[in-house]
Amino acid sequence: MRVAVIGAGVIGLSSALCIHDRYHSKVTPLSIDVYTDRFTPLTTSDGAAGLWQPYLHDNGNMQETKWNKETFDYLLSLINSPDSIQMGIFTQSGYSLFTEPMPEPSWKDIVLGFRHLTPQEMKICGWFNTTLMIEGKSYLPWLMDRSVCTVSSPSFLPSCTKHGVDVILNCTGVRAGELQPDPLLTPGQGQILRVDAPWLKHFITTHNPKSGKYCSAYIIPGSRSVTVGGIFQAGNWSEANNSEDHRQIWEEGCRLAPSLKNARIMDDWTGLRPVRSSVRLDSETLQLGNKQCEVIHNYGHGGCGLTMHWGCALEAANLFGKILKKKRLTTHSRL
Amino acid sequence: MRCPAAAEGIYGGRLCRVAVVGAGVIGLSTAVCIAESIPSCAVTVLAEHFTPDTTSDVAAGILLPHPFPETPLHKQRCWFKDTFDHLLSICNSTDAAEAGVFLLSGWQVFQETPSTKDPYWSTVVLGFHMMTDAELQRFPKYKFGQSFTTIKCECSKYLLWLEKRLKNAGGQLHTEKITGFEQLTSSYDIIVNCSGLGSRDLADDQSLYPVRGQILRVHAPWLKHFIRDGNGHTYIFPGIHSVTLGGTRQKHNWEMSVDEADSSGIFERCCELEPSLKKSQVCSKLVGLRPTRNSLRLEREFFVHGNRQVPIIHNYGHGGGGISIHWGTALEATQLVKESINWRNPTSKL
Repeated sequence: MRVAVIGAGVIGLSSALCIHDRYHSKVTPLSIDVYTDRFTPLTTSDGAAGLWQPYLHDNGNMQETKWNKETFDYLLSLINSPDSIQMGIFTQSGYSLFTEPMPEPSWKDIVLGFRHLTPQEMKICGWFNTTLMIEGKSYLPWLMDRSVCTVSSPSFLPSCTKHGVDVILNCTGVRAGELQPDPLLTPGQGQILRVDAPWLKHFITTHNPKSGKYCSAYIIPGSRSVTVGGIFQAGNWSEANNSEDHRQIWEEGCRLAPSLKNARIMDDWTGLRPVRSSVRLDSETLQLGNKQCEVIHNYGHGGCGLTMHWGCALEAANLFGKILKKKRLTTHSRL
Repeated sequence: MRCPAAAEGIYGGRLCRVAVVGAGVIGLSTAVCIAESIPSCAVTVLAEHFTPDTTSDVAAGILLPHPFPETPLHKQRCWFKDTFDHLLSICNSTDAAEAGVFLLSGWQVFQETPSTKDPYWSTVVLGFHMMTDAELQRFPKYKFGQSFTTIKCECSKYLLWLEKRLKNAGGQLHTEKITGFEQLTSSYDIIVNCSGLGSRDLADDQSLYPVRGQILRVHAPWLKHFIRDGNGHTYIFPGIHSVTLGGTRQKHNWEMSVDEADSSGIFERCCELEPSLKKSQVCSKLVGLRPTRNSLRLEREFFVHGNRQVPIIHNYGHGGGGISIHWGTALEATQLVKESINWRNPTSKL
């Protein structure tokens, strides 16, 4: 069976790995090839700080809450393993701050040590918890090293089918609309600064219910630098850094953590979060030329790709399993 | 306190000359405290060693009190709280990076449940609570734990920052080994003794003894939490540019050179607590001798030399808790200095 994965961000690579691990002994030969024009360290996943933290409200989307939890539990199970550092996984604690009390999040029992801030700690409302970091710049190379081969090619579906691809995994993120129009998908543009401030050991995220997700300053220390951000512009396709956003991020970041003021700014980066009202994770059969191709869509994770990637990869593998069953039935019924 | 004009009367119109012996965290913080809060004093720090060669430079600098069996608990708590509050305001200021002061969260874990689950300092540190079962799962050999946020004060930066603060307040620093207080009585009006382990000879205090501590500094920038075994023998304290792994607590051991058996022991025990450390690289190995005493000596005595009686304020014997209580003891020593300014030399006939 030939599988083509389009997209080499965290979604594409982890889905490919998950399917490979579960089915390579059941379906032989199983070849999985990844097609992309951008791979690590130039993907959206590479630029993201890598903090495991879902949105504050799950909007009743129990499925996404389940994928978040599966991802956290999976990463936590690897925390003491010999590979953890190579994978870019480590724990970090920190603060979520609000201007007014907020209902507790769906993930409060998923993370470790969740508690409300004491009066000593902050004059405003907030939570403290220990969570996980999963850094794309380490995780993606680790995924690339594991069993699947990557082909660099600006390929689209038509050329895939010439080579007899049976299943396509569409993990194209923010540009999924180029393959198949999707009015629900839009870029959530965000610029960040990477700063040299190794004395910062906690993440700080702020949330303003009036301005929406990610529009509020955040500081996320990593293993190599500290990410300072707080921009979210829906519908903006520009990947260019701009000085106005830079100024806003820096001012608000320094207000949040005054010690940043004397830190050295290393660089700026702008990425496009693949925003969608809900993640598209489903399958369909497409007629491409004179061939039928099974397509599994796995895109639209917004700012939560790293946070929910493994749960989505497991679900993509489930969908793949259903496709396998369907094909066997088809084959069987012909006999 | 009497106004500076009265002080002028005692010292014949000049500033009161204060000598602070010792340039570790105790000496420098006490000197800064005196120079900043008593304008009528001219402060000079005299020491054989300055940063990066002091005992304070080896210490990880985590604010976690060290027990003094013979000092009343309320005093210990007061010194700790004064220090914590002082450093917390630095953490939240633009000075934090230069001063080497920052917040650090983590866990203190115990193999056996301790008799005191709620120590006196639990209300001083931030967010203190018992570790949940889920949090303890990462430490399979441990059955109880405390989770909290404290402060790390890195002396390699902090001492330089204090030196700068001292100079801004008109203070001076001289490299000079003081072997006897008589060296100072003719040039200074008040002596403040912050010589740590040096007081064994300088103040002839045989109750003071070293507790040898060896540490490793490793490169592990992914570590963002401290982890300490409640027995005090194994600890992991992430710093700005390296992680301190410890340790040893060898009483009456004066050996300053690195012991390789201690190094391997420390590394192994820390890797058991935090397996990812196996991937870390050791940058340096250091030894420090904690200046230990059953109670901290913070009091005034009068040193007689010829026809001079000079007040000496002793501020030493902080053991492994110097950084944890330094500002609190500096404040108290400064108060003793203020009281001493108003004291008249009984041989003068004023």
